[in-house]
Amino acid sequence: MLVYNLFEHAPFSFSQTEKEAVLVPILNEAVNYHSEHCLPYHSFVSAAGFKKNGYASIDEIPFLPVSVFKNHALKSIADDQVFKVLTSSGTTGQVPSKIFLDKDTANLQTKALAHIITSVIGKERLPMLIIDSKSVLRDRASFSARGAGILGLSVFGKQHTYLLDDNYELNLEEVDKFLSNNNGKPMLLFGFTFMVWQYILQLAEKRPVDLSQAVLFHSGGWKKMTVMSVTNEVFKTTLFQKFGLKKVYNFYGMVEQVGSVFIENSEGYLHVSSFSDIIIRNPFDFSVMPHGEKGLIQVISVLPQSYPGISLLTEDIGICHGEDDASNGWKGKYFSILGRAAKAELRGCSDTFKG
Amino acid sequence: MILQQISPTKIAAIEVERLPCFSNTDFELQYFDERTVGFFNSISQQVLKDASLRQIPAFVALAYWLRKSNIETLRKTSSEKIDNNQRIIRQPLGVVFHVCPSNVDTIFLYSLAISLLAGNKNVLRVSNRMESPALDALFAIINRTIGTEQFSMLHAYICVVAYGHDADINGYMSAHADARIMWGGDKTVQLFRALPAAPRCRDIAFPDRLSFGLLKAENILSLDESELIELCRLLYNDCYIFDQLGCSSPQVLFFVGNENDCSKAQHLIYSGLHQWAKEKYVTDLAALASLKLNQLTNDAMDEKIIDSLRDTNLLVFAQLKEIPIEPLHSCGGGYFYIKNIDHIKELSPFINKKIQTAAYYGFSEEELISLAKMAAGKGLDRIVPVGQALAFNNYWDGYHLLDQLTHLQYLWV
Repeated sequence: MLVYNLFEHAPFSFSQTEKEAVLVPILNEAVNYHSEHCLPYHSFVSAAGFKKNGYASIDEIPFLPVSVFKNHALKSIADDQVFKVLTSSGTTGQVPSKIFLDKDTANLQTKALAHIITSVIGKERLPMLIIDSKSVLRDRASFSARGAGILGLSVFGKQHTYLLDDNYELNLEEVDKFLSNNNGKPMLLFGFTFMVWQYILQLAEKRPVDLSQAVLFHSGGWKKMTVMSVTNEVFKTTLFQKFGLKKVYNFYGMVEQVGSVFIENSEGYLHVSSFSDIIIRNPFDFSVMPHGEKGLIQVISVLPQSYPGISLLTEDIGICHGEDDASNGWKGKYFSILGRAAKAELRGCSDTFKG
Repeated sequence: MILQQISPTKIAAIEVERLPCFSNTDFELQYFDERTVGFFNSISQQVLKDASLRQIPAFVALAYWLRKSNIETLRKTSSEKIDNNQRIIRQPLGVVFHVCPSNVDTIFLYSLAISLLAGNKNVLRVSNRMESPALDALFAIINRTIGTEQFSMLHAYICVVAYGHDADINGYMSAHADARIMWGGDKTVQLFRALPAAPRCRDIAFPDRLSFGLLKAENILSLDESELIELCRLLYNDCYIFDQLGCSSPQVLFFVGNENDCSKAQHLIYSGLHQWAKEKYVTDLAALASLKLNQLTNDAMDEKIIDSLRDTNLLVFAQLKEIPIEPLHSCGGGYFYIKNIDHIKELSPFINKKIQTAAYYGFSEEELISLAKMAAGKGLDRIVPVGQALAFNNYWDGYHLLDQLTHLQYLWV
């Protein structure tokens, strides 16, 4: 099967066994392809202690550390084929990651995202309320993930309305216009988790909002929410109680593997689509952890064709909870992210006068 | 110019000119004064009694070094006759300014001790942001001891201060010090060199250093199991203490011998070292795993290495493509660059001014002397047996520290 064939199947329809059978040949092909067309990747596969070819299962595929895109410009295409370069600004002072896309890969990523998102919201564009300020798209420093998320999902919406003005205050004039057309009707909401929590609740105090037919996508991690003792359950229950909102989908994506989005399933966990796989690795020796045990999250995707981003070890810690048995019928693995691994704090003798 | 004083007493804000080491102009303590020796012996005993400090190998080593019996071995006569008429009288230089590394490390305490034994007054700058419960505990012990009647004269002799990046204060220290000891790497040394110092100020610089291991394959292969375990224990101590990031911690391991022997020896050392790391090394595995994978990936993509051995993330052996000419520093925590060579003389292009310590196993005196001679004018400060890489010595980085910090007064009667 080719990558393009995957679109003929619903995004959560492959059992883990079926997925392995489909993805392993594609990934073998991909490793060979990138080794031939990207010299640094070839050097990595040869020297970093991985099996060099003939991978019998997904867990044998070599994995790059996700930070590699900060230190090396990796591409398997000629310079004149570069269509777009994605960057992640990361935290201040850090070198950004650079991801090189050609037209085909950019196209694949867009289609994959659409394939996944439309499977839960349907094919029609919905009126969209963005729980953020339009200024986030203008301000280059804070652009990063929030802006990328907004742009990525905007294609699935229409009548795009931003909840907040440039001062991050409720833009009631705009919101009233939006609600007068759409309150109580199908609509698409998007925002970062902590933004949604903070600002939609503010809105509830000012306006009666009926989100019973709406669908919310939110992303951004639970760190800030955990500090406030807001779990996924509390989050969803509160939104249901205040707005009648039933369809809430947490999602997780990364600039290093755009298009491979993980969406919350019926059990409340992030679910892996047919384009991807997830492996949890033991930090001690990178062996595969069984379900229910935490470790470093490795993400695999067959979408990156213009750059060797098919198999990456993130710096996030997570747990895989199960596979093929979500009650909504979605097949494949599902997992949760527990947090970032700490930065190594190894001491030494030098740098008395570091910044 | 205000700064924070940590020793001899804690003062939140004090003017730099008012520091006791500058404001008091008497030099009461003699060269290797009994009171100084007694002071360090007392510190030594207190450190070994301290519940938290005696758990830390680096502090235990320091305490043993500060014992009277060890200090006495450093003593040279304070008045040394050359002949019937000529003699040398050893005097303090004056005030020594120490720039201490910001990371937790005990090495600067040795240079403080040597400086004090020479009779110098000392002002030490530690980082504002330094978070070290161990050093806090040590300074508390020092303050307490200086506070006693017996050692009260030392209050003008040990002054520990903290301040941020302040060119004015740095400039003041440089202008008033008779010697500057600069720990902390190339950047720190260059920063202070750029500041005008008093004309007779002696600079003792400890910039970026790189150290390596030198292992003879044939000898390793002839060891029995318990001998191999012991060798690896010594190597573990050299390598994993200070997370392999100390200036004397080996970054590269050279195996000397034919290809076959070297390959076998590598595997034996890998297994043995790994076993010790598994038993003794305490670290955040997730952080270490990412750190090493990044290092390995960069080294592979930069075409520095051609293969690697990593059974677990506790220990990585990365095979170098060729003898490194540029300094190769790893990420630490048990990541080694490995190279097999036929003969010691192949090390010649590797030796440069950044190379500090060679920790060896399996070489004869002749071979070691030939290594030393090969490095003439090029670098290499210390050649020591495996197990002694981190052991501080008066001979350090090519200096005789005590002499560097001593004013040699020539007298002709």
